[in-house]
Amino acid sequence: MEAVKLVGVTKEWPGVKAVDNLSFDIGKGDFATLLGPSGCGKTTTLRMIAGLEDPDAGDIYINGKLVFSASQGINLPPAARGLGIIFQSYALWPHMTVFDNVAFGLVQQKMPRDKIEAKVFGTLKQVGLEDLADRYPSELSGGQQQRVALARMVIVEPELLLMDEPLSNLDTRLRMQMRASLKRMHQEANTTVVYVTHDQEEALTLSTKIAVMNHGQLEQYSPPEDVYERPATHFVAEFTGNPQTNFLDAKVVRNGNSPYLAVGDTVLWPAQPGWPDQVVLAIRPEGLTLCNDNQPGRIPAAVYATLPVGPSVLVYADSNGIEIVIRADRGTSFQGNQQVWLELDRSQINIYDAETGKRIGDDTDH
Amino acid sequence: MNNVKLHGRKAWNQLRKPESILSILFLIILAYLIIVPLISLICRTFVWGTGDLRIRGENVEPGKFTLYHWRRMLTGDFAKSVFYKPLLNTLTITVGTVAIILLISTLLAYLVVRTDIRWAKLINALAIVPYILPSWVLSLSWLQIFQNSAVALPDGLLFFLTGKNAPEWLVYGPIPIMITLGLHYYPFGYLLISGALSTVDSQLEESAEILGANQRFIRRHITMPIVSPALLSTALLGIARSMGTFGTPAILGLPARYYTLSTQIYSLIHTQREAQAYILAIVLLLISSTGLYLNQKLISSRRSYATIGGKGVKSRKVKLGKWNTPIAVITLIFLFMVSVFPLGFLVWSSFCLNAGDYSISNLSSHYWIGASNPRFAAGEPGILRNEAVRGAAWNSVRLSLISALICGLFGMLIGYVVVKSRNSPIAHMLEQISFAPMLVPSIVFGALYLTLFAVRRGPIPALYGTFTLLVLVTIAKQLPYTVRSGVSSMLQVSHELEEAAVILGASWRERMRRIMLPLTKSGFVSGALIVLITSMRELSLYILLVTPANRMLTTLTYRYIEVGYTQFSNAMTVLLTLLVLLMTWAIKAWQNMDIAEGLGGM
Repeated sequence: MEAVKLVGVTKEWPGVKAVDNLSFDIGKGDFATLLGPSGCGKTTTLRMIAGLEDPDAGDIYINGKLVFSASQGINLPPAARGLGIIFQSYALWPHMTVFDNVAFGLVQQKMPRDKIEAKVFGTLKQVGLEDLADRYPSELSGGQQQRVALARMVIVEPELLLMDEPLSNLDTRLRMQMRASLKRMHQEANTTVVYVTHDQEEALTLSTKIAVMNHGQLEQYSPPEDVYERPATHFVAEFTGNPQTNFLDAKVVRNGNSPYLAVGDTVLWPAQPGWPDQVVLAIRPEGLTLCNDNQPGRIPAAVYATLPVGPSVLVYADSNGIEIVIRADRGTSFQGNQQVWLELDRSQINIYDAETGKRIGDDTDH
Repeated sequence: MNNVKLHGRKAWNQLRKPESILSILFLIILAYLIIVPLISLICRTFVWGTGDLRIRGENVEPGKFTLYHWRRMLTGDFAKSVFYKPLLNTLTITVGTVAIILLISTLLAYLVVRTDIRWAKLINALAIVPYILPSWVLSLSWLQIFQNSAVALPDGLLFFLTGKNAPEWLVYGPIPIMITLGLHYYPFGYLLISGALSTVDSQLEESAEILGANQRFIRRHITMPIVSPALLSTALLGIARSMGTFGTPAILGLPARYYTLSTQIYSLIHTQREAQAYILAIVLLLISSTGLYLNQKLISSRRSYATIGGKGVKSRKVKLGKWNTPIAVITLIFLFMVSVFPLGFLVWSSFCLNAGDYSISNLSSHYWIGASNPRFAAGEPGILRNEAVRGAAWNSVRLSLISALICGLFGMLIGYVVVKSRNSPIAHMLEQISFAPMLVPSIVFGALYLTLFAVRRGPIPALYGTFTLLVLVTIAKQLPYTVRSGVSSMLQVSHELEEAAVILGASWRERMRRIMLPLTKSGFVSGALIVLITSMRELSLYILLVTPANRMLTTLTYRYIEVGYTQFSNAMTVLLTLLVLLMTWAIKAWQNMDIAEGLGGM
């Protein structure tokens, strides 16, 4: 039984399809991340699972229970769906103390006062805030506020925890710490988490599965390694680039009976017979090597900037009007406009149909 | 078929939401309080009234359709003296008033915001005082300073001090009306313009300077374009406010038979020519709502200006040098003359036993605490031991408090609905309707309620002469202020704060009680405070609606003015001002205390 199951969910805002016929399952105990640029429909999807937004079409199941169905007119209120949500803004009530914020859900359940007190302090202890129960949210740091927001939802023991960019308001160091503690919390509590972010690094480090969304549609839904190593579409390859993915336009040359792949005048490798004429090669900065001499299969380029980034150096080069980024060893340096040749690591290349943007294979497929 | 059913179910689910139920409820209430009176007003101008039967006698059947009123108001000699002349007078006064407002508010705002003038804080504080005073404080004291036996008895302060008479044009008519209205209304222009001026980052001007522009060029091409929306806004609001005002033109115009539309409406209703009064009301409504409509359009396109400067506006102040002290002194004298002096003068003259004699030997507390004495004011006892005054004071306080509470709550709830369902057409309509009363001049609003509630209609009994009617008209008229503060304070509460409570299972009532209302409390208080102050000193709105049984402080004051009991009206005005200040202060103190308590931890 899946923790969350979406079937053909659609949501339209005036003029735009925010979510377009979305279907996917999230397994019990998964840490599933909805990843995509702003406006891709990831937050809307999360809010529809929570019941804060009503879909225009489709069904939503949570832990096997049908909580929303447009065709059957079923729409369970958020509180009946057994979930908790952490907002980007934390949404702590500024006029209530930490204690009252965390106790709110239990008060709504009409739990006796002494039980509430014990449970609130227990939960605050878990997140390390038991000394701050009498503070108001404005008297807490960003990280502490974040933990109060977590405690407020965890205390009602939801089977499903939704998080909408919970770390985006924290500074870099705190964000790294919170990532680690979120991951630990997920492993210990074994709840299902649905997490929304636009930060691909966050998605790759935290998730057991990533759903990449664009224009309200699902581009890819797989474990993080797959998303990184075998992006299903041109869009996913581009979006998960760090700092960016290089794209080279290539064509399949069919002379005689053995077609081959070529970028500009450079002949690369044999191509599969089924491939379309126009393809795009995607390769990350790590998959390129800078060489000083021209040999068959190397692509010419001119270096125009060298950016040291700590453990490595990012070299920016121009190849036939296209910007290429290469990750090179520390200490590498070039002069402006220096002519170089790029060697491509075949194992790190993904090939996309230039027209549809769909992945048609990598070079190791044959 | 199935699709229709689905749509129906979706719509039904939407309707069951609390904000939808609330918006429909408020739509009905507002339709009843605002739309129905407006339609009724228009209809009444096309039928014979009972008053016409008495005036014209034969051939008149009350309730039957006729174009008589419109013909009579638009053509012929009657129209000339009852419609066109007052219209012209109104326009004249409006233009003059707006000119004065613009002049004073721009000068003051410039001095305070853009120069290093001395005592800027004091000037800033004094500049808003005239607006807090009832609108007729200035006209009442003006009259008593300049009036003389050549025009009307008794002599004013000017004659008492110099033995000279002021010419009649300075005592009654357009000139004094423009001046006193301008002096009463300029503070809102001052607030608007100084607000706009302080958003002009002087870095904007400095960059122009560095690029080689001279001061005149900078003022014309940089500073003025940024401030001009505020100037235009001031002018349009000035038009809308001065057109519908009643007290000042009544005090300074009526004795010389100088009519404006508002005083003409009053006198037509008093001579039972209601339909004709309503035609004037419609004209007044059209003109002032055009002004406000233009202003609204202006504000919405002005929003882009709000971001100018953004963070840390730096303002370089013009140095006044050796002129600093003289200019500051002149400004302070001026402000003193338009705020402290008129009120002080009214206090003094309320203690003058014989009107017109301002000597110390004539001072007496008779009009405040004296027992009934047939020698003075037909035996009217001093206001502090006067049954009628006590009743009116109780009425005023009760009315203001009740209306402020209800109106404040309505404002918050409507604000909630509007913010919560931004895209729904019903919420949009609700917002529009609740702002409509701003377009309607007070005296017209009174006229609307007079037509609608004079007789029993369906389940609603005749409310004319009841306290309920006064509460209703106050709520409807003041709603725009509380809705505005309701919308803006609800906008400040992120929707996620409510959603977090939804997730945790709080019902709508719980959410309102524990989250939304506590978080917007200060918006509620400030909205209610505006209603409280405005209705305490509101005259135009009630002048047509009160009966001897439910007088208010303001209408009783006007009654005293009408019958010429000058010292009584002076004392009443002072009493009213004190009450308003006291209530404002009390509520502010209570609110601060409350906030302090909240922070102390409960």
